[in-house]
Amino acid sequence: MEFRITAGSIRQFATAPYAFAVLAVAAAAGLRLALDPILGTYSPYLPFVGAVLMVGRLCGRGPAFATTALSCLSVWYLFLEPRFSFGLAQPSAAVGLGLFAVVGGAISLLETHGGLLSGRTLAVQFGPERVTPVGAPLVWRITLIAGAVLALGILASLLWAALQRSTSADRMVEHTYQVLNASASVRMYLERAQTSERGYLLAGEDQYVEAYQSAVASERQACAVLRRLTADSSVQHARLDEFDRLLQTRLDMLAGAMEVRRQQGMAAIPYLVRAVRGGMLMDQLRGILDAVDAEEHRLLHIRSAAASAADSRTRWTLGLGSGSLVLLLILAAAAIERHIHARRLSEKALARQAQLIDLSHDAIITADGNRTITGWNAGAQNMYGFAEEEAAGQTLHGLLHAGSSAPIEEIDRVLARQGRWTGELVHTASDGRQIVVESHQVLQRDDSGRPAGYLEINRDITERKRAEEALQESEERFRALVTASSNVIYRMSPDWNEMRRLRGQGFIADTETPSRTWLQEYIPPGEQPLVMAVIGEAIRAKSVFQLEHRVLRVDGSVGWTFSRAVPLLDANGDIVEWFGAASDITERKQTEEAVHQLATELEQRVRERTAELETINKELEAFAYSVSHDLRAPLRGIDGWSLALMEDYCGQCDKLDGKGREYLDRVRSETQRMGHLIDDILQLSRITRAEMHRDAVDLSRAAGSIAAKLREAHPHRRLEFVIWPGLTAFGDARLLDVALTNLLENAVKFTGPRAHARIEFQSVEHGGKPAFAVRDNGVGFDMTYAGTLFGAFQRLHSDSEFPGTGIGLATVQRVIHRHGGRIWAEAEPDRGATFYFTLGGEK
Amino acid sequence: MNNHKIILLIEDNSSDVDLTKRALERGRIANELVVARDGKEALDYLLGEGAYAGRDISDLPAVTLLDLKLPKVPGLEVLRRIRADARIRRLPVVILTSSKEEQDLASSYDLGANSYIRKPVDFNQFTEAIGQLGLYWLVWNEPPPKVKQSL
Repeated sequence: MEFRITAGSIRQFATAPYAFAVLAVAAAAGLRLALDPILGTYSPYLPFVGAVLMVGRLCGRGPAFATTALSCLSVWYLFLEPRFSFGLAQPSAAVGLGLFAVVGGAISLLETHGGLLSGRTLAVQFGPERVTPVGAPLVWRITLIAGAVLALGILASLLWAALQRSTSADRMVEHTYQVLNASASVRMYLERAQTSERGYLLAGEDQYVEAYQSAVASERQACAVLRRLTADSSVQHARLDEFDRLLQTRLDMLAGAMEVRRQQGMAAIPYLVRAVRGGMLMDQLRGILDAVDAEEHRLLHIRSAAASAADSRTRWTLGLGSGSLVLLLILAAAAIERHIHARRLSEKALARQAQLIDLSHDAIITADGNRTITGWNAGAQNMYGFAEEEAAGQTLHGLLHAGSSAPIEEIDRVLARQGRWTGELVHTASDGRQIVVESHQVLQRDDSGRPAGYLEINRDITERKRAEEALQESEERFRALVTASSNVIYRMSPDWNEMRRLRGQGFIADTETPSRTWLQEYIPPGEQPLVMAVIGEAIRAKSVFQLEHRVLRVDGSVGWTFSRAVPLLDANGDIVEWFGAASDITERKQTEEAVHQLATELEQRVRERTAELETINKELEAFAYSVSHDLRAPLRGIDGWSLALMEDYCGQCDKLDGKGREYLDRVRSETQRMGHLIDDILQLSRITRAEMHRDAVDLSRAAGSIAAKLREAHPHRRLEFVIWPGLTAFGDARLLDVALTNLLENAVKFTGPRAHARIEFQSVEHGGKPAFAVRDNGVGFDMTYAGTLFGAFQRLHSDSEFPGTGIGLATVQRVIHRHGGRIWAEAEPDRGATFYFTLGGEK
Repeated sequence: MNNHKIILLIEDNSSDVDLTKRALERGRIANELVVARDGKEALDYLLGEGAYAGRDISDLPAVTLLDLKLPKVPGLEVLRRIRADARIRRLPVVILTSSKEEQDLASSYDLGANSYIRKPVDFNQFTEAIGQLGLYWLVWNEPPPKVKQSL
């Protein structure tokens, strides 16, 4: 079987169009000849134009050109003056001929290249059988063609006979005229002989004798001719015999008279005149000739009529023949047209069918009796990956390696018995992929019952198979899961009115048979509205039901369950059943409640504690304010009055000795110290209370400006600050400034004994994390006491060595802690100290 | 020195009052010093009310030294009322206090204090501050014009 669409069934028509063209020209010429008596020299081109049009329409451009050329020649030879030759009497005829050639050529050009007969129609061959064109049955077509040939034969023979008849009639007429002519010659020479004889008789001259003898010779010759011409008529023959006898008598008579004249001379003339006149004899001769002529005239009349009739009959026959020819031509053209149309329709239908076959996703394969592939559609190509050319000629089992898995013998047995087989096969595609196909095979037998061909339609069901297997596997797993699950499993009707089954797992009671009272059995009354509301919503939305709710346990007590059910939907999206699982969450729920209660209590406690703390904070603030204001006033008083005492009582008198003045100085310096302490404590307190405003802070810049202030404050010291650039942190700029100030001030303070103080602010790596460091080359300290370093009022040096309140590092630590950072120090006596700090929120 | 220019000291602590007097003396400032012991008294003085009824209130002190922590009417309230009264709002007010609280500073300036001085504990420094203060407000500073009484 072949699905290929091939162009050119028209090749079988390759010469037919030109034969048709010749036929058409001949028909046109015949028609025009038949019309000759009517048209004469007018319109020689008319039928030929028709011929060109018809040929062009039916056979296309080429044959139309041929028709035009043939028509030109035909007209030129047959119809243009002088007729029946290739010559031209008038120039206008040449113009007409040229015009016709141009018009014919134009008509030809307008036609499609192929025409209806030779058009590039699509022929579809489906197997060895050609499609029988739609049309009249074969018998009818043969009868029709035979009839046409017979009619043409009869017409031809009739025409032949008519022409024969016409020719013989014409010949008979001509014969009659010859007879009449001969008769006239006989009469003429007789008269001439008589006249010559009479001339001799009268004149006696010899020249008349010669004329007489010549006339007599001619007379005899003419008589012989007449006798030959009338040989076919016995009547005329008899008449001529009589005429010959009488003529002899007359000639003898004339010869006798001439002899008398010669001998007797002039004296015999009267007698001779009488004798020569001949009287009755001459009349008899003329009578015979008249009779002959009358007979021939009668015949002429008859024969002319016959010739005329034959002519007329010939013309009619010719006309009829030409007409028939034209009619046949028209009929043939119509038949061809119809045939082409029908053929094209069927070809289109076949092409559509072939396309449809190729559109199929199924592999449609045909094979011959030996199972060799002959047809391979696009579906097969897609499915197996073999092109049609690759597949053709191979055996199906060989190509698709189906032999190992396919029970070929079994298939053949079934095909032999039933003619068809359906089943599943595993085929191998061109890329080695295994394809499961649902195969339908049909066996075609030839007339003798032997296998002639196989049709195999294969559908790829690999995915379906896989899905089926996956489904089966999933179902098995699911069954195992349900069996293994400790959960309560239940099934409900679509509207939840009926519980179909429930496996309680010892948590709640089992339901083995469908129950409509499940709500009362399982759900405490107080919980029912909530459960039903959530169920209603799930049914409405066809979505998962999910709820934690109280449930009546096997022992009648109230427990908690987490229940979840999914709707199983049918193809229409309607709920078929609800499938649910529920777990015992009683314990968790109880724990949760306890936790919740604890959390509530804790929250309450936190609220109370926060309020307390807020109050304390407020008091602390008031206290700090009070300290700042009230504690300083007495200090000022002490200082002021001590000074007043010194001034007023030591200036000009000796009421106070040197020792007393020293004590007063002590009083004053202690007062100053107290003032500083108060200020530092206030700063510490402020740092604790201050609100944090975090931002990006340039620590290098801050350290730089602090260093500048410190240099200004200690103009006599040699201070070297090494501050790394670009150290930034994310924190409160004001607090960080306080911390840096304290650290750098400390460094300056404890490098006091050094001639060259070197103080660094840098960034270091500590435990994989960046940290800031303030390093000095000062007196350092013993690490043994490092633990107390950052406590308030804690000092490692005596006030006389290094004055201070012991609050600075406490303040620094407070700042660092408020940033979520850490501060620590490393030092060695006399080898300097390094303070490290990190900031939690640094970037 | 212009002896007609009055200094108003609003201070409850007698020790501080005396120290201030002493500091003024040491700074050779002999102008009349009026002392109000609490906020109420200060306002009475300035507005010619209570004990000071009948005083010509258009005769404004050249400068007022105002402590913030005062009995009865606190210092900031006194300042607020001074600035709220059209008759005395032009009075120069210098805050003289022990507090260095940021909030006190901010409030004082917000309410229109002309200056803010924190009393140092060191009396020498205190004397210095008072002396300069007196010099500035009594000598260099041009007092505000008197408010026209429309009675």
